[in-house]
Amino acid sequence: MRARDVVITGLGTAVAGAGGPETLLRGPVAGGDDPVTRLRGPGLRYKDRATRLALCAARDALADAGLPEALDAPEGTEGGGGPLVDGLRFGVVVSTNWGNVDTVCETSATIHRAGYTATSPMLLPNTASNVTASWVAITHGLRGANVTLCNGPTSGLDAVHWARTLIAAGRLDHALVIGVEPVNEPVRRLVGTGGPGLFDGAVSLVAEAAPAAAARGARPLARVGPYARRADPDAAVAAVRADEPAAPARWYVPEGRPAGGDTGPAGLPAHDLSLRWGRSSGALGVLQCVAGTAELARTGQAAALASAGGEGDDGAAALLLLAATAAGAGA
Amino acid sequence: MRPVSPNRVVITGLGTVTSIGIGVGAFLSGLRTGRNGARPITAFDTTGFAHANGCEVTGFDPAEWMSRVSPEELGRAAQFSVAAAVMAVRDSGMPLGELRGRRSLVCVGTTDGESADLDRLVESQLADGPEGLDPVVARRVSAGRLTTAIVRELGLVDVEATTLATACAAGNYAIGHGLDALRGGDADVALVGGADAMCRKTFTGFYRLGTIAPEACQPFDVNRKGILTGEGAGVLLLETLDSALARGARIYAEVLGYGLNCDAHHPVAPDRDSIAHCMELAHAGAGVKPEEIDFISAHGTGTRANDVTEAAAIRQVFGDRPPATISIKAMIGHTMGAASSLASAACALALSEGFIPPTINHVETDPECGLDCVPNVPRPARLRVVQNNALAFGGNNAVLVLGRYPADEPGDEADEADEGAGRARAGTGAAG
Repeated sequence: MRARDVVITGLGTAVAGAGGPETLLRGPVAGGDDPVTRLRGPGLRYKDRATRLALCAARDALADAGLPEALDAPEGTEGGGGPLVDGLRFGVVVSTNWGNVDTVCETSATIHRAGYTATSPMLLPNTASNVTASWVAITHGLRGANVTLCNGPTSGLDAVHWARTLIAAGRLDHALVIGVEPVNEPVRRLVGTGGPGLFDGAVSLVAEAAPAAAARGARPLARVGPYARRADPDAAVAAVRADEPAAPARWYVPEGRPAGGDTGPAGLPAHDLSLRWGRSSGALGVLQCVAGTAELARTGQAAALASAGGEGDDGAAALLLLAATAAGAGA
Repeated sequence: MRPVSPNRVVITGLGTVTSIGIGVGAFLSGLRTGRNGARPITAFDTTGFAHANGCEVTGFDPAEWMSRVSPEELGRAAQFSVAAAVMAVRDSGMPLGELRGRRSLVCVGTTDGESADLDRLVESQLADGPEGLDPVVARRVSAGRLTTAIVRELGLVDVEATTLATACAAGNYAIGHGLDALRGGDADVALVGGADAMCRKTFTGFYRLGTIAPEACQPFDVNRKGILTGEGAGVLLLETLDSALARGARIYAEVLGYGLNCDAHHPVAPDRDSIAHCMELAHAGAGVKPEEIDFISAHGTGTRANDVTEAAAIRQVFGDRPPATISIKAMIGHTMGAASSLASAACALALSEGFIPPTINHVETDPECGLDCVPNVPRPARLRVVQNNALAFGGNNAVLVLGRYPADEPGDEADEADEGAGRARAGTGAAG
């Protein structure tokens, strides 16, 4: 096992009104199409909304990273893999708090209304909490560790951290990280409809060991910096900044901060992405990292700070994204 | 030779909530006596099902294990996870003050989270409309509480806490995460495992597939008829070997390594080659060879598809004489997200107590499986290395390897000479 720098090499979005990762700081354009309408192929009927959204974002992130669409297909075939990317070393980390709650509640309602014989055996796999990560793996031939987190408001940042940990421990060379939350009737009922709207979409990033990315000639967009989880949001932020000289140029704040707006703590420009895209729950941390990575790559700034979970939550997490430039020394 | 690791990691505390006993003492006694946790399901109305046996936890009083968190704020799965974590800490002998002063990690895996509460909410909504939604129940459906409730109950401050939903392999995933964090120096103590509560939609799903056994779960038996759904929680307290030795802790076993992979093949059907590869990853990670494994705790659900495929994968890795391969699901049912953590706890107890838990309800071994499943009666054995398989829907595989601590003891050489009881191979004890 050896410590390895982890870089982000691809980004994907599946959010109505978002034109791509670089538009996440601007907010949605009215009248955007539902991204899942882009999906084609058999079996869609039996996939829940979270899975469909995740598949859209995953495909875009892989393409953005210059990776093949099907890593288990032989080299040279359509969408097939190449010698520098091994599907066995490619994992998936999905963060979602509400994921397949629609399937679970609909199954429950069907049993109550019409008895168990009215349920479809075809839907059983969809009631498993890891269904989205599994379908992403099956679709793209990603045969490494496959993880689903449902960890409350910090879940998205936790997912990026898990991907980094799996790579740093030498268990993976590449990981697709996806944050996804669907909006449907059961989610509305459980979350409530007050305050900003709800985020309905998926975002994705490709994380890779720096040497693995370099070996295949990939372009690093950012590095994954320190991460911390604490009971108190300020303590989490202080922990990730303690040993990192690079000052963040932007601060992606936890959703629903009382101060809100773009007035940042500690004089930093702040972005509450939930004001633009709705309350994002388990997707938030990945949304912040996708927006932050796109911004770092565009501006050449040194660092961006992402934080999630605040007062009244069970915990808070923070993660620094760093400019890609020093990545080559990471091996 | 095992790789030299700067931070060797050991198990020093166990917490178990199961249908065959609550607490590590009762669980061990159940494993030793081959107790059967199956009984008619009471967790939900089973009217209309021709058969509805399951392995429910009975006699569980959450208040017994909680002083800072109110049990009413938690769903049944979170109650199980908190209770098991508190048990593991008490069992480890680590004072709470010491635990709170150290950097900790809490990670709990689950399949269904609080789906039983979701079921209740749906029922009340159908009966009374949306305004009938009980806000107390609605607040506790967040699966993140399986972990954060442990943090609150134990008063942990410097803690990384994660709830995993990697379905029926989630327990091993959580244990592996704890191992990596301790080895990497990111934490000093890890409370890791899995929890799930019996819920109607999971029972119904398996029932609709025709994979619920009418009465008993019989892994690897020629007449097996499927799974029995179960519930419970298993939490392991992990710490570095140096930490355990410094405080004079009792050590159940050493965590040697693990492997994770994904079939990326089919949402339900397991894939032999991929399962075999996962075992090889685990062996490589643990620095052991297949011939060093003294017994395998199989995923062993008791369905036709699982048992034949898993047995074939075992043979692919171990050859024609695989080690004894058991399934404790015959006793405690399929506890979903808790399954591999409870099986890991059973493996740790087997290593420290010197026995192989039996596969109960066994009549005749399926020749297609062809494994020595230690039928019905536990087998005394001097064990050194054991393997715990976990396979989940979606092809999520996680295999854990545990070793006895200390690895070498007087008498081991004599055991090897006589190809002892713990190393009985297939064909020597096929039928019970």
